[in-house]
Formats: sequence, structure tokens, C-alpha cells
Amino acid sequence: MKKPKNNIVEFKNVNKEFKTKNSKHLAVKNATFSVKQGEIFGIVGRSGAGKSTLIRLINGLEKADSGKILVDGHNITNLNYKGLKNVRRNIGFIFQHFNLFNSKTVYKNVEYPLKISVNGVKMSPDNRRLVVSKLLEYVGLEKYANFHPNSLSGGQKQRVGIARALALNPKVLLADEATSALDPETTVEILRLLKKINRELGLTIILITHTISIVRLICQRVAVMSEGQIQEIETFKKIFSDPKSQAAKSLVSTFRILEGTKTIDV
Amino acid sequence: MFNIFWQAKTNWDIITPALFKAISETLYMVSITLGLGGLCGMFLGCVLWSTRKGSLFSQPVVYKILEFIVNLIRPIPFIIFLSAVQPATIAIVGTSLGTNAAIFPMVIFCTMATSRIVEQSLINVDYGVIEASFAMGASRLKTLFEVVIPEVLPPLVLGYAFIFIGIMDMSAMAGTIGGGGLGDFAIQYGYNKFNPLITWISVAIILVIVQFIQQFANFIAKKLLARN
Ligand SMILES: Nc1ncnc2c1ncn2[C@@H]1O[C@H](COP(=O)(O)OP(=O)(O)O)[C@@H](O)[C@H]1O
Ligand SMILES: [Mg+2]
Repeated sequence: MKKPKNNIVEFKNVNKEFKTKNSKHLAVKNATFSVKQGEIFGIVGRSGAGKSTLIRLINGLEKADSGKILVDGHNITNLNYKGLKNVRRNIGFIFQHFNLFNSKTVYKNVEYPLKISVNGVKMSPDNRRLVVSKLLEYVGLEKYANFHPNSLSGGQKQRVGIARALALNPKVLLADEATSALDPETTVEILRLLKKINRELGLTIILITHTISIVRLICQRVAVMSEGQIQEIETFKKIFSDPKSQAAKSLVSTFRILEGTKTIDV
Repeated sequence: MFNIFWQAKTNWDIITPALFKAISETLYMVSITLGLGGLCGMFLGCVLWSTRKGSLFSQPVVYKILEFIVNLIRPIPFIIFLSAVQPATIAIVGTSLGTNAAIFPMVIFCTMATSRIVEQSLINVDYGVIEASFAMGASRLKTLFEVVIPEVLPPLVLGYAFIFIGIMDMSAMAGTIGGGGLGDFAIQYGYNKFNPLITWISVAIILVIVQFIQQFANFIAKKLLARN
């Protein structure tokens, strides 16, 4: 059997449970889905739905209890520590709170991933300089190379986060609520940048959000998640016009209210 | 009633060289202790922090054992600890008298205190930056040395200044085992000779050293914070 080549990420019956002293919580239940190469794929759902856990499974920040996770055709669920580190180099990650290194300059933040060696080999300083300056220019921060993150605005911080995530030339970019801490205008700027990255670099983006309007702006398809389960996967248009699951119906109705085409009934 | 104090004669010909000897002994003890104990404490602190449950090397049993040892030793009054470890001091330093003999227990104590300060600083690191480092494929050690420690440098510097004051305190007790230093000087020439002037000179010198270090640490921490 030949693997469909255009699936960059594939989940097959993946489960992830969190055990605490006196309770168990199935954060991801029987997740089966695939993301196509070059796609911008959204994951929506209310807070606690399991979205973060789901994408953290993709780069092994969380370990699946069962099921298969294929990244670029390779099963990552049975990788050892070293194998996992190599997989992570191919997967960029941007965060809601940016998670920049405050003790390092913008330049050093972006350079950091390039200084991680693989099998004892590390990129030369000259090449690093080249890559970092290209990236900073790409995200429009070339003037801020020697600034420290805390002197930047939220949008600028996320640009640093994006440049840092692109440094290793990944195949997939994971964005966990990457615009949730930003004002609407900055959100649109960052979405524009993500779209540009997707178009120009052909990078697959998997984007978590709790606001479905973001999905409409940039996602080709979206998975609606609630209580650890993927309820449906569709295009925004389909979900919007014909939501099947309760979770999708609720999201759409909220979207309409916020958009102003529906009022709040009391 | 107090005139006993004012009868004491200060013989500067004896006092001056003794004072300089005491200063150099204190600086010697303090710097060796800060160097060795500070380094060992840094190491132990990193081990404590990273073996905590859920941390980089999550080893709860190792953590519990180390924490028990540190908590056991730390509350012992230093002067009693000094006597308690006499056999170990003899075994390692060769003698239980003198400046070097005092340094051994000082280093142990300094290690314990520093480890706790380092651990407490590291606890405040936002887990997000650790996760970001892992997400790029960095190893745990690289994350510890190149992300976690740099992130907490300002509080660490202030923590070390705090430790420094503790070491000055310990060094004053070194006199009891012939370790010399400013504490010994103050007791020998000031207290025992009913000459408070001498004690006050020691106090003033200790204050100057401590203030200098504290201000220096504040300055460095402020510089580091400015970029954070
Ligand atoms: N490390 C963890 N330990 C225990 N429970 C966790 C952990 N991470 C997440 N959870 C739980 O799993 C569920 C899903 O969390 P998460 O994936 O963060 O949801 P979302 O990102 O959709 O808000 C939540 O109920 C959360 O409390
Ligand atoms: Mg989340």
C-alpha cells in the first residue's frame, strides 16, 4: 500500500490521558485526522477542549498513550529522545505568550535554534548571521536586532516568535493561540504574515484558536473540538452554513453575535 | 563605672599590622568560600531544581533525598557545625586549626545555602521558555544552561550578594578555631582588652566590604534587569 504523499501530519486513533493523584482526564479522545501539505488547518474549540494537547502531540511535547502520529510519513510515537529532538527541528512552534527568551536580544532569540547541534554538528557563525538577518528582514524587524523582547510591542514579539520558529526551516508551523494576546489590528497583521509565509514558503500551518473569525480569515479547513474529541472537520463555509455538532453550532452562534448579525436573547 | 574602657591604650604599632593581617585573612576565607561554595551550590541548586517532580530531569526520589540533606544541615548553628565536622576537617584539610580548617565547613555551609537560593530563583522561570527551547529540539542541558540560567541571572546575582553577607558572618566565627580574620581581631584586641575602638574599626571595615559588594551586586542586577 502506498502512503498518500500529501499528508504532512496524520493522526490515527490517538488517545492522551492525564493522570493526577486521584483523577484521570482523557484530554484527547480517539483523534483521527490528517493535515495536507501546504494547508492552513484550524483547530477551534472552547478552552479546555484539548486543542493544546492535540498539537503538542505533534512534536512530542506530550506523549500519546495509544494510536499513531505520522509527521511527514514517519511515526513519531515510538521515537526515542534523540529521534524526537530531530523531529522537533522540522516543526516550528509559536505561542500565545510568545515565550521569548527575555535575557537574549531579538537577534540571539532567532539565532538560538541555529546553535542547537545535530550529531555534534552546528551551523557556522557566518551562516547563522546570514540566516538570522534574512529572517529578521522577512518579519520586518531588521531594525530591532539588538533590542530585548521586553521593549517590543506584542505584535513585534510575535514576529520574533515567528522568525525564531522559521529558523530551522520547518515543514510544519504550529500556532497555539498565537494571536490571542494581541489586539484586533495586530492580530490581522500577524495573520497576514502567516498567510504570506504559507504562500511564499509553502509551509503547512496548524493553527489553534478559540475565535472562529480567525478561521474564516486564513484556514482552508477547520477541526471543531470539544471535550477531547474532534467533532467535525470541514471548510469554514460548510461549518458556518451547516454546523452538525453541538460544539460547532455553539461556535457559529457566538460568532454571529459578535459579528452583529445576531442578538443576545435574555 | 565605664572608665575601664577609656583606660585601654591603643598601641598602633601592634594594631596596624594585626589589622591588615585580619583583613587579608577575612578576604581570603570569604573569597575561597564564595568561589568554591558558590560553584558547588550552583551545581547542587540546579540538581535540586531539575530533579523536582515535573522538571527537566524529574527524579522525585533523588530530589527528596537531597532536599532532606540540605534541610538537615542548614539550620545547624554554624559554630556548632564547625565543631561537629572536626573529624572531616582533619581528614580533608589535615588540621582542624587555622584559616584553611575554617574554610572547609564554610564551603559546606555556603553550598547548602546557595543551593536553596539557586533553586528558588530557578523555580520562578516561566515554563513557557523551557517549552519553547524543547520545541526547537534543544536538549535538556542546553535548555538549562542557555535558557533557564540566563533568564534568572538578576535574582541570582542578588542571591549571591545575600550569600556573601552570610559568609562574612561565618568568617567571623573562624577565630574560634584560630582562623584569624576580622572577627578574631575584634575579640582579641577589642573585646578582651576592653578597647571598643578596635571593635568599632572592625565593624566599620566589615560594613564597608559588605556595602561595596551589595552595591556592586545591585548595580549588576540592575544592568541585567534593564535588558529583561
Ligand atoms: N499537564 C497536564 N496535566 C493534567 N491535566 C492537563 C495537562 N494539560 C492539560 N490538561 C487538561 O487537559 C484538558 C485539555 O487541556 P488543553 O489541551 O490545554 O485544552 P485547550 O488548549 O483546548 O484549552 C484540560 O481539562 C486540562 O486541564
Ligand atoms: Mg490551549
